[in-house]
Parts: sequence; C-alpha cells; structure tokens
Amino acid sequence: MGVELSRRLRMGARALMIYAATALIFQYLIVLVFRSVDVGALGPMMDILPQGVRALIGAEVAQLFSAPGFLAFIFIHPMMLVLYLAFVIAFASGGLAGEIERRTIAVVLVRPVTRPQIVGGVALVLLLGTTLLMAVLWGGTAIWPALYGLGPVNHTAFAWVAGAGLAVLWSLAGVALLASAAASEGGRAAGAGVGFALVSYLGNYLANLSPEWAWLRPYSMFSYWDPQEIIRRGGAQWGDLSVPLAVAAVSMLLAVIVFARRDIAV
Amino acid sequence: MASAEAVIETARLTKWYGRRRGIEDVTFSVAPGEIFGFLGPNGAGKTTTIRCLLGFVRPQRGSSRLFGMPVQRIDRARLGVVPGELSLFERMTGAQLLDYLAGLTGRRPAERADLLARFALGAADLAKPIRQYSKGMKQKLGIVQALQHGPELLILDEPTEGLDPLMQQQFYLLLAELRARGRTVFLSSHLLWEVERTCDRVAIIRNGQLVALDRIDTLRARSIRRVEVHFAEPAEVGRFAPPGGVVVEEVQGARATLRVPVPQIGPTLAALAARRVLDLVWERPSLEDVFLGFYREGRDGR
Repeated sequence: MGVELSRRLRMGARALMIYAATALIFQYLIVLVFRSVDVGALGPMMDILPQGVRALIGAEVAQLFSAPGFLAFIFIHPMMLVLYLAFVIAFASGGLAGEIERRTIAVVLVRPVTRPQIVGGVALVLLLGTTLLMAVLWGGTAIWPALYGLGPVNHTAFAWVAGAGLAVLWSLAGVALLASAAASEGGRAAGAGVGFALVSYLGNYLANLSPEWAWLRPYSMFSYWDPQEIIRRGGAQWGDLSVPLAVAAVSMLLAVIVFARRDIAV
Repeated sequence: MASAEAVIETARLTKWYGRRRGIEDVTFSVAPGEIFGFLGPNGAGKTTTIRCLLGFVRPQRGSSRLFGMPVQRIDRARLGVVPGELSLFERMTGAQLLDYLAGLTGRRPAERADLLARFALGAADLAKPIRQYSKGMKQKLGIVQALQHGPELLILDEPTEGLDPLMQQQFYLLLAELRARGRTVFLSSHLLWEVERTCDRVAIIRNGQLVALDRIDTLRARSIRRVEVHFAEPAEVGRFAPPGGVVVEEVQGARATLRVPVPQIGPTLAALAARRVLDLVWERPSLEDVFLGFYREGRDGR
C-alpha cells in the first residue's frame, strides 16, 4: 500500500505544486489590484452592476470594500474554482478510469494490492492535494496583508473559510472519484465530474439570482461555501460543513464499493 | 488430474459481455510444473479466460481457482503476469518501473539481474523513460517485471508479441529452464508453432468454447491425416472409391491428396490396395493441422 501511495503522491506532486503556485500568484495579483483601486469609488460601481453579476460575485457585495472581504472573495473567484476543479477532476479521473483506459492498471492488479487500497490511494492524494491548496490560500491571507499593510485579518475566520472550501472540494473530489471508479475511460469520468461541478455551480448561481430558484440552494455544494459570510460571522456553521462532508464520505465509500465489484476488462 | 494438485483449475467458467459471449463452460486444469498452451485466434476468448483467472472480471457462472483457492484469496506475489497488449507507466524509467512493481509484490527481485542480461536490457536502457522504448523493449521489460520476483505461476498472454527472433529464442530457452525448475506456465498464444514448441498440453478455444484439451502428441494422433497418393495413371484416381469420411482434397494428374480420419486408415489402405499405387506419403500432422481441423469443423458446422 505504501509503495502504491508513494507512486500516486509522486504522480500528483508536480502538478499540485504548479496548481498551488498558480493559486498563490493569482491571490497576490488580486491583492495588487485591490491596493491599486480606489475602494471608495467601487461602491457606486457595484450598485450599477446587474443582478446576474452580483450573484456571481457573492452574497455580500459590500464586503468587497474591505481587505478581508476582498481576500475572502478570492477563494471563490471563478479562476480559482477552475484551478481547484482542474486538480480534482484530472487526478480523480486519471487515477482509476484513466489507468484502465491506458491498461496500465493490469500490472498493478496482478500484485498483492487490493482494489479498495487502489481507490484509497487516489482518495488520499485528492484529500491531501486539496488540503494543500486551501492551506496555501489560507497562508496567503496571512502573508499579503502583513506585507502590504492591509489591516488586521481574522486568521481563525479565514481558517474556517479554507475548512469550508475543503469540505466542498472533498465532496466534488468524492463524486469525481466515484465517476472514475465506475468508468473505463478517463474522458467519461472527467466529463461526469465536471458535469456535477457545473450543475452544482449553476444551481447556486440561480439560487442567488432569483428567489424563484432559491429551492436549488440545498442541492448545490457551492451554496455551502460563502467565504464572505464566514468572514462576516467570524466562523462557519457546522451545518454548512456537514452536508459536503457527508457527500464526500458517501461518494468515496461508494467509489470503493463500485471499484471493488466492477469488471475491469484490461 | 486430482483437483488438489492443480495450480490452475476452472470449472464451467462462463462470461458474457452484455449480449456478446466471451467464454462459455470453459473447464480445464493445469498441473504444477506444466507448461500449458492456450490456443485460439484473436477474439476466441483467450484474454477473457485470463481476465477471469486473474479476477479482473467476474464470471456469470462457474469458478476458477489458483493454488486451490479463489484468486481473491491467494498471495499474488506467487504470480507473474505478462498481460496482453502490455501497457506500462510511460513516464517512469525502466528501473523505476521494476523497483515500483517489485515493491508492490513485496518480494526481493532476485532474478532481475539475470533476466536483464538475458534480454539485453542495460543500465542505459533502464535509465530512459519508458515512452522512449520501442515495442520490443517494452515487451522485454514486461517479461522481466513478471519474472523478477521468482513467481511459482506464470500467466503469459501473447508474451513474444513484438520480440525479435533472437529474443524469442531467449524466451523459449527461459521457458525450458522454468519448466526444469518446476514452475508452472499458462501460455496464451495465437502462434501455433510457439505452443507446439514450448507446451506439454494445449487447450484450443473457438468462439468462447474449448474444442480440444489434451497433450499435443495425443491431439496429433487423433487428428486427420493427410495422405499423398501417387497412382500409376490418372485414370486410377477416378476409379479409387474413398471410404466414408475420407475427403479427396486435391487431384493433380495421377496424384491425389486425401484427408483421412484415424478410424478410416484401415479402410483407406484396403481401398488403395485394390488400385495400382506407385507411392504413398503419410504426413505427420502438425499442431497447425490439428488447429485448422478444429476450426474447419466449426466453420463447416455453422
């Protein structure tokens, strides 16, 4: 198991370093943007934004006028979401379905490694990788304000932001892993993972856009992660964490069961 | 063979992929120290049988056991497998792959150095990423990874695919040595001469079903004989009345080629004795004749 996990870690390490560095650089660039604009002038500008754009930015647009609110927004910036998803989907779909498609899994399956151990290895790297991404961003929220004098930042509140983000990423990783465990082609698994994330994102967007669509909120993983609200409250609610964590646990367990029972025609 | 002795044992193994038949009622056993050939053209069910043996796919019916146990319960370090259409981790170097797979197996790769020398894989080759390997080099590495830990049972699916003739010879020598050391080998191949040369027993699979299972010599003995008869004159060919079951395959002037089932050898000789025959050549059947015989039967039977 250790040998298999070590291979998976090595496989993911380089890509993960690139993702983490990109996230940190992007966070830095956004901080530079925040410093260069006249925050006071942003208010009227925000007011004239259409509701669709305001829904995209987040629930508490006014929070953007403070450094903590701006830093919190970076966590759910579309560019960041793409970055998280790229890691989660690529690694999950490549780890099982991709190896079946390439047939490389055959030389592993004939050795004393069980199928649950193989799924466990991929799941563990996904959990560690997403934790690293969130830890890097949380670290950034401590580094940039200190370097540029952006004022006091509640590190505990940002730890909650990262924690809630982690729960959501784990739920997306779990579903992507389940798709990968069931598929025999990396592309199909990735498609299913991306599809779930997109539908989930769209559900949250529509729920924010209009009260008519508010009923979609509980079904969207992204609705359980509102960084600006967490900063405003000074912490996350366990209720918000429990749903994505439950989705993550159930989908990962299902991935183990499905992969252990399925035919692998390689 | 008593089942307790068998290294591989299958009973009525049946696997369908949706509505397409993979294999049906495949039953055979392989004794310790035996080199067992599994012969059939592409798509006949060889790989499906191997998938069932290794537990990659679940049969709808029947069972398979390795070392007397279901495959899920055996110590897989006792196995060495060269999968069909071998695919290796292309980003790794050859050395990294061998170390990784040896680590997974959990046994010291005691035979690696000897195998690398045999198959002419040097340190420089092993330092290269596998994506830079030729097909033949990948296949050699595939054989080394399967054997480096000294497994008791080898399951080889088209193992010489892509090897040059020199390396094929090396491989056959290696199989002979493994046999001498008491290792058991299950060799799946569509190369008749390869199976004929290396195996003790052979199973022939056609359309997912076993059509023959025996020692190669026994199969040969049972197979249809080809007899070339040189009559004294062309008219004698027309006068020759072949017994039932004997087929006149070809006639060229006074020469005729007959296909004679073993039970018809006596009546054929009696019929020929009534004619003026100058020469008679009985060909020793090759495995190819046996194989083609089974496949011809299948085609004619459809």
